Amino acid sequence: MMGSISKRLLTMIPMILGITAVSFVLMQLAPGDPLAMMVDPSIHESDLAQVRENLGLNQPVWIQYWRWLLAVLQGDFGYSFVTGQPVLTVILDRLPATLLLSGSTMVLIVGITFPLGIWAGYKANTAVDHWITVLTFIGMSIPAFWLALVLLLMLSVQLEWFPLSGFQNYAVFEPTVWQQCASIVHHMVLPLVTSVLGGLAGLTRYHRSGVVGILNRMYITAARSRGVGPSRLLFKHVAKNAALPIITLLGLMIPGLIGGSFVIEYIFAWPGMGQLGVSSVFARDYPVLMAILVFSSLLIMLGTLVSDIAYQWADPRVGRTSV
Amino acid sequence: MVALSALFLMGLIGVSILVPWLSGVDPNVVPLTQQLEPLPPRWDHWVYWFGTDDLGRGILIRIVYGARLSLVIGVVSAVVSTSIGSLVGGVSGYFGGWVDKVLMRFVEFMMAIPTLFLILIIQTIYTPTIVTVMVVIGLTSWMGVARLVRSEVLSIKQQPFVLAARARGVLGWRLLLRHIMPHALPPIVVAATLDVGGAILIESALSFLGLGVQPPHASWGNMLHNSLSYLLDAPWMALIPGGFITATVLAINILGDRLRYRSD
Repeated sequence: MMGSISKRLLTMIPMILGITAVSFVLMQLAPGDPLAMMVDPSIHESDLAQVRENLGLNQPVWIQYWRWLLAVLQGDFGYSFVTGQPVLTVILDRLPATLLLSGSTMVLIVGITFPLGIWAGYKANTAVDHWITVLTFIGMSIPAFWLALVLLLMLSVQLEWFPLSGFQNYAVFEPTVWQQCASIVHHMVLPLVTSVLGGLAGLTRYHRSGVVGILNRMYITAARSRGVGPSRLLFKHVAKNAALPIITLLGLMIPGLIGGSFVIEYIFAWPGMGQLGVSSVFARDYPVLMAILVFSSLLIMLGTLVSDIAYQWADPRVGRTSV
Repeated sequence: MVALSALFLMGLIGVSILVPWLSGVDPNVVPLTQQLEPLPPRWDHWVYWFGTDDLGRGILIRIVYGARLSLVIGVVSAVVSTSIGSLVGGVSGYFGGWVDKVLMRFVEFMMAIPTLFLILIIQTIYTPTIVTVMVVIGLTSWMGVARLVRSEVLSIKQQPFVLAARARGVLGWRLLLRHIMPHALPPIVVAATLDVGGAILIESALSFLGLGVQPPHASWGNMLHNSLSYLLDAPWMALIPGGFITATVLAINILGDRLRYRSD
């Protein structure tokens, strides 16, 4: 098993190099001259050439890439065009909020879809199954940003149940830790609902077909003929076997979660990496954009890797050979 | 539900072809004789059934033109992504070996990049037009199809008729394109259908952020972008386009799911 993990880690290296290359190429394609932002517009042409040489901007692109890569590997992503802060600091600042929101989304999606899928599978091809499918499909088909707007309009503006945006109420004087947590949860409800509703359909569908498959197995028939009642059958015999694939599905969910976070965080002004990403798109803050591209891809790769490893650990039949 | 979805989509397609052709109403002209503010739905002329936007233009006619654009963008992007995905997946599954390894690593690599964010960055670098929107969505969402087609081809390759074709001397690309791929067509069609819905959602998000279809062209996404400043005073400007996106994508997803069920 250790062998396969290290092999996976090795295959990540070219992927990371690839992603840095993509972001470097995009940065090169981006319009505008980075020097023009730094220098006095009245600078003499020969001085400009000197600055260019000092910064190494007159060297071939691949040498520039190599130097940039070395810097990136040491955590130096450059400085934000907007705030002037080091990019790494800006991003690490935003990471906790993103991890909190996507982690909670993941837990809720699994917690909701697992029983829902079992229920739909057990009642396959009945009205219940039908309605579960339609409702989760509606969740999948609603544009997340529009759902966010409608929720804000109804629950925040009209009913004033939830705050409009942000992470925490900073107006409270010297809040206790408990008050801070409550405030964060209160702010998180709407972003969480929006991202959870969009992610229900896939997993529910998956569990449903898994349960339908399991119910056709001989051991279920045997258990039924032994007189095992429906609830015991579902929760003892079916649920256990249906639970295993969750781990791989978690891995498959991660790209969608990270990708979806961009729009949702932006609308709710949730101070995570996604919101930073979209606002940097509008500000044309290329160093931040590229770093976010690298970071979010890394998060996705790591998440997939962890779920693969966890799956091997949980199901030893998925052997060293197949991965 | 399936019949209703089919009916809705056919109605939408019919209206989006017929109305621009027959009505002669220009969706982008600002009627200068009217008040330039959003007005709620009224019944004196069919153009105003859904109310007007902030420039006094009828929302209904813009919804119709938006439907045309959304459907075209959805279908073209899905055709692009399904073609790339089928080619990559087919070649990968059929030739196997190092070709397969390299291509699948590339698929994994593409899947690790958050698509919407990549599209946003590309749209800031190039001036967003309808064509770039379609191409960029197509180029960034083919990976699922590639995986699907690869596994299909792997299982079709094992079937006796392939062996028979080989024995008759059909080899290489000819075997893949003429004999194996046609059998992988049903799941490809399903994936393409679902991709149309996905592409419509991506387009709406892009246009909503102002990086997709640009005004004065009406798209459901940029109508929503437009509605942001009037959310409280003119909620219909936001509710109607959003409702149409949801209904259309839902109908596509229900049809796709039905197709998948039949092809299994």
